[in-house]
Amino acid sequence: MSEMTTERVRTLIDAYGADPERWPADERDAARRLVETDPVLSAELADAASFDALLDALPAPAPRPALRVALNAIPDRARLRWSDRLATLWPFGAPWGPAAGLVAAALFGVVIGVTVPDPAAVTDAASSGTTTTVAYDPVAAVAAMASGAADLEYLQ
Amino acid sequence: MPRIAEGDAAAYRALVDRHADRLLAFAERLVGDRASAEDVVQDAYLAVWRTAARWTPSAKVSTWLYRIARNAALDRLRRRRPSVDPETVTLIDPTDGPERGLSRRETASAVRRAIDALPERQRTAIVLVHYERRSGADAAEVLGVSVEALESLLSRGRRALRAALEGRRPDLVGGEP
Repeated sequence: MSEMTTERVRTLIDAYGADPERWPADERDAARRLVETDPVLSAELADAASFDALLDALPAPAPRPALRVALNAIPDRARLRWSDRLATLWPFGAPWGPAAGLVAAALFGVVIGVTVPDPAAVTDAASSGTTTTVAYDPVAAVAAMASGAADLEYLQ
Repeated sequence: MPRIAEGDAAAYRALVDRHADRLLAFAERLVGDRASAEDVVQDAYLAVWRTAARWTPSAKVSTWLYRIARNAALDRLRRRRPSVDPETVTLIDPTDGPERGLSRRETASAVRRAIDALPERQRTAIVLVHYERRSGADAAEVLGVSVEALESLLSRGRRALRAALEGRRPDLVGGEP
Protein backbone atom coordinates (compact mmCIF):
# COMPACT_ATOMS: atom_id res chain seq x y z
CA MET A 1 0.00 0.00 0.00
CA SER A 2 1.45 3.34 -1.01
CA GLU A 3 1.74 6.14 1.52
CA MET A 4 -1.43 8.12 2.14
CA THR A 5 -1.36 11.66 0.81
CA THR A 6 -3.44 14.75 1.37
CA GLU A 7 -4.54 14.59 -2.24
CA ARG A 8 -5.73 11.00 -1.88
CA VAL A 9 -7.71 11.84 1.26
CA ARG A 10 -9.30 14.72 -0.60
CA THR A 11 -10.24 12.32 -3.42
CA LEU A 12 -11.76 9.91 -0.90
CA ILE A 13 -13.84 12.67 0.68
CA ASP A 14 -14.95 14.00 -2.71
CA ALA A 15 -15.99 10.54 -3.88
CA TYR A 16 -17.22 8.69 -0.81
CA GLY A 17 -18.19 11.51 1.54
CA ALA A 18 -17.27 12.07 5.16
CA ASP A 19 -17.99 8.66 6.68
CA PRO A 20 -14.74 6.65 6.76
CA GLU A 21 -16.83 3.46 6.74
CA ARG A 22 -17.56 4.19 3.07
CA TRP A 23 -13.88 4.61 2.23
CA PRO A 24 -11.91 1.63 0.87
CA ALA A 25 -11.01 -0.58 3.84
CA ASP A 26 -7.33 -0.77 2.99
CA GLU A 27 -6.97 3.02 3.01
CA ARG A 28 -9.32 3.90 5.83
CA ASP A 29 -7.00 4.01 8.84
CA ALA A 30 -4.20 5.88 7.14
CA ALA A 31 -6.63 8.42 5.69
CA ARG A 32 -8.29 8.92 9.05
CA ARG A 33 -4.94 9.52 10.76
CA LEU A 34 -4.03 12.11 8.16
CA VAL A 35 -7.32 13.93 8.62
CA GLU A 36 -6.75 14.12 12.37
CA THR A 37 -3.45 15.90 11.89
CA ASP A 38 -4.51 18.27 9.11
CA PRO A 39 -6.93 21.10 10.00
CA VAL A 40 -7.72 21.82 6.34
CA LEU A 41 -8.72 18.22 5.71
CA SER A 42 -10.71 18.23 8.95
CA ALA A 43 -12.66 21.24 7.72
CA GLU A 44 -13.28 19.57 4.37
CA LEU A 45 -14.47 16.46 6.18
CA ALA A 46 -16.92 18.50 8.26
CA ASP A 47 -18.24 20.16 5.12
CA ALA A 48 -18.70 16.77 3.48
CA ALA A 49 -20.48 15.52 6.61
CA SER A 50 -23.07 18.29 6.36
CA PHE A 51 -23.62 17.41 2.70
CA ASP A 52 -24.01 13.73 3.61
CA ALA A 53 -26.66 14.76 6.14
CA LEU A 54 -28.48 16.62 3.39
CA LEU A 55 -28.49 13.51 1.18
CA ASP A 56 -29.80 11.51 4.13
CA ALA A 57 -32.90 13.69 4.18
CA LEU A 58 -34.18 11.29 1.52
CA PRO A 59 -35.51 8.43 3.63
CA ALA A 60 -35.26 4.76 2.78
CA PRO A 61 -38.31 3.47 0.92
CA ALA A 62 -40.41 1.27 3.17
CA PRO A 63 -40.81 -2.41 2.24
CA ARG A 64 -44.25 -3.56 1.09
CA PRO A 65 -45.57 -7.02 2.09
CA ALA A 66 -47.60 -7.38 -1.12
CA LEU A 67 -44.43 -7.18 -3.17
CA ARG A 68 -42.92 -10.00 -1.11
CA VAL A 69 -45.98 -12.14 -1.86
CA ALA A 70 -45.66 -11.43 -5.59
CA LEU A 71 -41.95 -12.24 -5.57
CA ASN A 72 -42.49 -15.51 -3.72
CA ALA A 73 -45.09 -16.53 -6.29
CA ILE A 74 -42.66 -16.24 -9.20
CA PRO A 75 -41.48 -19.87 -9.12
CA ASP A 76 -45.08 -21.08 -9.27
CA ARG A 77 -45.84 -18.75 -12.15
CA ALA A 78 -42.69 -19.47 -14.06
CA ARG A 79 -41.79 -23.09 -13.43
CA LEU A 80 -38.84 -24.10 -15.48
CA ARG A 81 -40.41 -25.12 -18.74
CA TRP A 82 -38.64 -25.94 -21.95
CA SER A 83 -39.15 -22.36 -23.03
CA ASP A 84 -37.38 -21.19 -19.85
CA ARG A 85 -34.48 -23.50 -20.51
CA LEU A 86 -34.28 -22.18 -24.06
CA ALA A 87 -34.33 -18.66 -22.65
CA THR A 88 -31.12 -19.37 -20.75
CA LEU A 89 -29.50 -20.21 -24.09
CA TRP A 90 -31.21 -17.48 -26.11
CA PRO A 91 -32.11 -14.55 -23.81
CA PHE A 92 -33.02 -12.15 -26.65
CA GLY A 93 -36.69 -12.99 -27.07
CA ALA A 94 -38.64 -15.83 -28.67
CA PRO A 95 -36.19 -18.52 -29.81
CA TRP A 96 -38.36 -19.81 -32.64
CA GLY A 97 -37.14 -17.37 -35.28
CA PRO A 98 -33.44 -18.11 -34.78
CA ALA A 99 -34.19 -21.83 -34.48
CA ALA A 100 -36.02 -21.78 -37.84
CA GLY A 101 -33.09 -19.94 -39.37
CA LEU A 102 -30.69 -22.55 -38.03
CA VAL A 103 -32.78 -25.38 -39.52
CA ALA A 104 -33.03 -23.57 -42.86
CA ALA A 105 -29.25 -23.06 -42.92
CA ALA A 106 -28.70 -26.76 -42.17
CA LEU A 107 -31.08 -27.80 -44.96
CA PHE A 108 -29.36 -25.45 -47.38
CA GLY A 109 -26.03 -27.01 -46.48
CA VAL A 110 -27.36 -30.49 -47.14
CA VAL A 111 -28.78 -29.43 -50.52
CA ILE A 112 -25.50 -27.83 -51.53
CA GLY A 113 -23.63 -30.89 -50.36
CA VAL A 114 -25.60 -33.32 -52.50
CA THR A 115 -25.92 -31.19 -55.64
CA VAL A 116 -22.45 -29.73 -56.12
CA PRO A 117 -20.06 -32.06 -57.94
CA ASP A 118 -17.04 -33.50 -56.21
CA PRO A 119 -14.18 -31.00 -56.71
CA ALA A 120 -11.73 -33.84 -57.30
CA ALA A 121 -13.83 -34.97 -60.26
CA VAL A 122 -13.74 -31.59 -61.96
CA THR A 123 -10.17 -30.66 -61.39
CA ASP A 124 -8.63 -30.44 -64.77
CA ALA A 125 -6.43 -33.43 -65.03
CA ALA A 126 -4.58 -31.72 -67.82
CA SER A 127 -3.63 -28.73 -65.74
CA SER A 128 -0.16 -28.72 -67.03
CA GLY A 129 0.99 -25.39 -68.37
CA THR A 130 -0.26 -22.14 -66.90
CA THR A 131 -3.90 -22.85 -66.02
CA THR A 132 -5.16 -24.74 -63.00
CA THR A 133 -8.87 -25.36 -62.47
CA VAL A 134 -10.03 -25.54 -58.88
CA ALA A 135 -13.63 -25.94 -57.77
CA TYR A 136 -14.70 -24.75 -54.29
CA ASP A 137 -11.42 -25.73 -52.78
CA PRO A 138 -9.69 -22.75 -51.12
CA VAL A 139 -6.88 -24.91 -49.79
CA ALA A 140 -6.08 -26.06 -53.29
CA ALA A 141 -6.31 -22.47 -54.50
CA VAL A 142 -3.80 -21.26 -51.94
CA ALA A 143 -1.55 -24.18 -52.74
CA ALA A 144 -1.78 -23.37 -56.44
CA MET A 145 -0.90 -19.73 -55.83
CA ALA A 146 1.99 -20.74 -53.66
CA SER A 147 3.25 -23.05 -56.38
CA GLY A 148 3.31 -20.18 -58.84
CA ALA A 149 0.45 -21.06 -61.13
CA ALA A 150 -0.11 -18.09 -63.38
CA ASP A 151 -3.90 -18.17 -63.49
CA LEU A 152 -6.63 -19.63 -61.40
CA GLU A 153 -10.02 -20.35 -62.82
CA TYR A 154 -12.87 -20.93 -60.38
CA LEU A 155 -15.73 -23.05 -61.57
CA GLN A 156 -19.08 -21.41 -60.94
CA MET B 1 -27.63 -20.17 -6.39
CA PRO B 2 -26.95 -23.69 -7.73
CA ARG B 3 -30.08 -24.88 -5.89
CA ILE B 4 -32.13 -22.11 -7.49
CA ALA B 5 -30.71 -23.08 -10.87
CA GLU B 6 -32.08 -26.57 -10.24
CA GLY B 7 -35.53 -25.15 -9.54
CA ASP B 8 -35.45 -25.11 -5.73
CA ALA B 9 -38.21 -22.64 -4.81
CA ALA B 10 -37.27 -22.65 -1.11
CA ALA B 11 -33.74 -21.49 -1.93
CA TYR B 12 -35.21 -18.82 -4.19
CA ARG B 13 -37.51 -17.58 -1.43
CA ALA B 14 -34.58 -17.37 0.96
CA LEU B 15 -32.92 -15.09 -1.57
CA VAL B 16 -36.07 -12.97 -1.68
CA ASP B 17 -36.13 -12.72 2.13
CA ARG B 18 -32.53 -11.67 2.26
CA HIS B 19 -32.29 -9.11 -0.53
CA ALA B 20 -35.71 -7.93 -1.73
CA ASP B 21 -36.02 -4.92 0.56
CA ARG B 22 -32.58 -3.59 -0.33
CA LEU B 23 -33.19 -4.16 -4.04
CA LEU B 24 -36.50 -2.31 -3.77
CA ALA B 25 -34.81 0.67 -2.12
CA PHE B 26 -32.07 0.59 -4.76
CA ALA B 27 -34.59 0.38 -7.60
CA GLU B 28 -36.80 3.13 -6.21
CA ARG B 29 -33.86 5.50 -6.01
CA LEU B 30 -32.90 4.65 -9.56
CA VAL B 31 -36.28 4.89 -11.27
CA GLY B 32 -37.82 7.51 -9.01
CA ASP B 33 -41.18 5.99 -8.13
CA ARG B 34 -42.50 3.10 -6.13
CA ALA B 35 -44.66 1.42 -8.77
CA SER B 36 -41.85 1.24 -11.32
CA ALA B 37 -39.42 0.10 -8.63
CA GLU B 38 -41.69 -2.81 -7.71
CA ASP B 39 -41.87 -3.78 -11.39
CA VAL B 40 -38.08 -3.60 -11.57
CA VAL B 41 -37.67 -5.88 -8.57
CA GLN B 42 -40.15 -8.37 -10.00
CA ASP B 43 -38.34 -8.33 -13.35
CA ALA B 44 -35.05 -8.84 -11.53
CA TYR B 45 -36.26 -11.80 -9.48
CA LEU B 46 -37.87 -13.39 -12.51
CA ALA B 47 -34.51 -13.10 -14.26
CA VAL B 48 -32.84 -14.63 -11.20
CA TRP B 49 -35.24 -17.57 -11.27
CA ARG B 50 -34.70 -18.12 -14.96
CA THR B 51 -30.98 -17.50 -15.23
CA ALA B 52 -29.54 -18.56 -11.87
CA ALA B 53 -27.34 -21.05 -13.72
CA ARG B 54 -25.37 -18.12 -15.11
CA TRP B 55 -24.18 -17.01 -11.70
CA THR B 56 -20.55 -17.86 -11.08
CA PRO B 57 -19.04 -18.28 -7.60
CA SER B 58 -16.49 -15.56 -8.36
CA ALA B 59 -19.28 -12.97 -8.07
CA LYS B 60 -20.93 -12.01 -4.80
CA VAL B 61 -24.61 -12.93 -4.92
CA SER B 62 -25.62 -9.47 -3.71
CA THR B 63 -23.47 -7.75 -6.35
CA TRP B 64 -24.93 -9.99 -9.04
CA LEU B 65 -28.44 -9.13 -7.86
CA TYR B 66 -27.72 -5.40 -7.92
CA ARG B 67 -26.41 -5.77 -11.45
CA ILE B 68 -29.54 -7.60 -12.58
CA ALA B 69 -31.74 -5.01 -10.85
CA ARG B 70 -29.81 -2.18 -12.48
CA ASN B 71 -30.29 -3.76 -15.90
CA ALA B 72 -34.00 -4.14 -15.22
CA ALA B 73 -34.16 -0.51 -14.10
CA LEU B 74 -32.33 0.66 -17.22
CA ASP B 75 -34.77 -1.30 -19.32
CA ARG B 76 -37.69 0.43 -17.61
CA LEU B 77 -36.06 3.85 -17.89
CA ARG B 78 -35.44 3.35 -21.60
CA ARG B 79 -39.07 2.53 -22.16
CA ARG B 80 -40.45 5.25 -19.94
CA ARG B 81 -38.45 7.83 -18.05
CA PRO B 82 -40.82 8.66 -15.21
CA SER B 83 -41.37 12.20 -14.16
CA VAL B 84 -41.57 12.21 -10.40
CA ASP B 85 -44.19 14.31 -8.80
CA PRO B 86 -42.69 15.21 -5.43
CA GLU B 87 -46.15 15.49 -3.95
CA THR B 88 -46.75 11.78 -4.49
CA VAL B 89 -43.63 10.68 -2.60
CA THR B 90 -44.18 9.79 1.04
CA LEU B 91 -41.37 11.40 2.94
CA ILE B 92 -42.83 12.16 6.34
CA ASP B 93 -40.62 11.48 9.29
CA PRO B 94 -42.92 10.72 12.24
CA THR B 95 -40.35 12.11 14.69
CA ASP B 96 -40.65 15.58 13.22
CA GLY B 97 -43.00 18.30 14.33
CA PRO B 98 -45.32 19.81 11.70
CA GLU B 99 -43.07 22.70 10.64
CA ARG B 100 -39.87 20.75 10.85
CA GLY B 101 -41.58 17.89 8.99
CA LEU B 102 -42.64 20.21 6.20
CA SER B 103 -39.11 21.49 5.82
CA ARG B 104 -37.70 17.99 5.74
CA ARG B 105 -40.29 16.92 3.17
CA GLU B 106 -39.35 19.82 0.94
CA THR B 107 -35.68 19.10 1.37
CA ALA B 108 -36.20 15.41 0.67
CA SER B 109 -38.16 16.26 -2.46
CA ALA B 110 -35.35 18.52 -3.60
CA VAL B 111 -32.83 15.73 -3.00
CA ARG B 112 -35.07 13.33 -4.90
CA ARG B 113 -35.26 15.69 -7.88
CA ALA B 114 -31.54 16.37 -7.83
CA ILE B 115 -30.73 12.65 -7.83
CA ASP B 116 -33.21 12.04 -10.64
CA ALA B 117 -31.49 14.72 -12.70
CA LEU B 118 -28.10 13.02 -12.53
CA PRO B 119 -26.82 10.99 -15.47
CA GLU B 120 -27.70 7.34 -14.88
CA ARG B 121 -24.21 6.09 -14.06
CA GLN B 122 -23.54 8.88 -11.58
CA ARG B 123 -26.95 8.26 -10.01
CA THR B 124 -26.31 4.52 -9.73
CA ALA B 125 -22.87 5.14 -8.20
CA ILE B 126 -24.27 7.54 -5.58
CA VAL B 127 -27.17 5.25 -4.73
CA LEU B 128 -24.95 2.20 -4.36
CA VAL B 129 -22.24 3.84 -2.27
CA HIS B 130 -24.11 6.46 -0.26
CA TYR B 131 -27.54 4.92 0.23
CA GLU B 132 -26.86 1.21 -0.12
CA ARG B 133 -23.45 1.47 1.56
CA ARG B 134 -21.85 -0.88 -0.94
CA SER B 135 -18.08 -0.83 -1.07
CA GLY B 136 -16.38 0.96 -3.92
CA ALA B 137 -15.23 -2.37 -5.35
CA ASP B 138 -18.77 -3.80 -5.28
CA ALA B 139 -20.28 -0.68 -6.83
CA ALA B 140 -17.62 -0.70 -9.53
CA GLU B 141 -18.49 -4.30 -10.34
CA VAL B 142 -22.20 -3.53 -10.58
CA LEU B 143 -21.42 -0.71 -13.00
CA GLY B 144 -18.79 -2.70 -14.88
CA VAL B 145 -16.07 -0.07 -14.36
CA SER B 146 -12.79 0.21 -12.48
CA VAL B 147 -12.69 1.56 -8.93
CA GLU B 148 -10.93 4.67 -10.25
CA ALA B 149 -13.72 5.25 -12.75
CA LEU B 150 -16.28 4.72 -10.01
CA GLU B 151 -14.59 7.34 -7.84
CA SER B 152 -14.73 9.75 -10.74
CA LEU B 153 -18.46 9.07 -11.18
CA LEU B 154 -19.02 9.60 -7.45
CA SER B 155 -17.08 12.86 -7.37
CA ARG B 156 -18.88 14.26 -10.38
CA GLY B 157 -22.23 13.12 -9.02
CA ARG B 158 -21.65 14.68 -5.62
CA ARG B 159 -20.48 17.93 -7.21
CA ALA B 160 -23.64 18.07 -9.33
CA LEU B 161 -25.80 17.38 -6.29
CA ARG B 162 -24.01 20.05 -4.28
CA ALA B 163 -24.65 22.57 -7.04
CA ALA B 164 -28.31 21.60 -7.24
CA LEU B 165 -28.85 21.59 -3.47
CA GLU B 166 -26.56 24.34 -2.25
CA GLY B 167 -29.40 26.52 -1.04
CA ARG B 168 -30.87 23.66 0.95
CA ARG B 169 -27.96 23.00 3.23
CA PRO B 170 -28.73 25.54 5.97
CA ASP B 171 -32.11 23.83 6.43
CA LEU B 172 -30.39 20.84 7.88
CA VAL B 173 -27.11 22.16 9.13
CA GLY B 174 -28.82 24.85 11.15
CA GLY B 175 -31.24 22.32 12.55
CA GLU B 176 -34.32 24.48 12.03
CA PRO B 177 -36.35 25.48 8.98
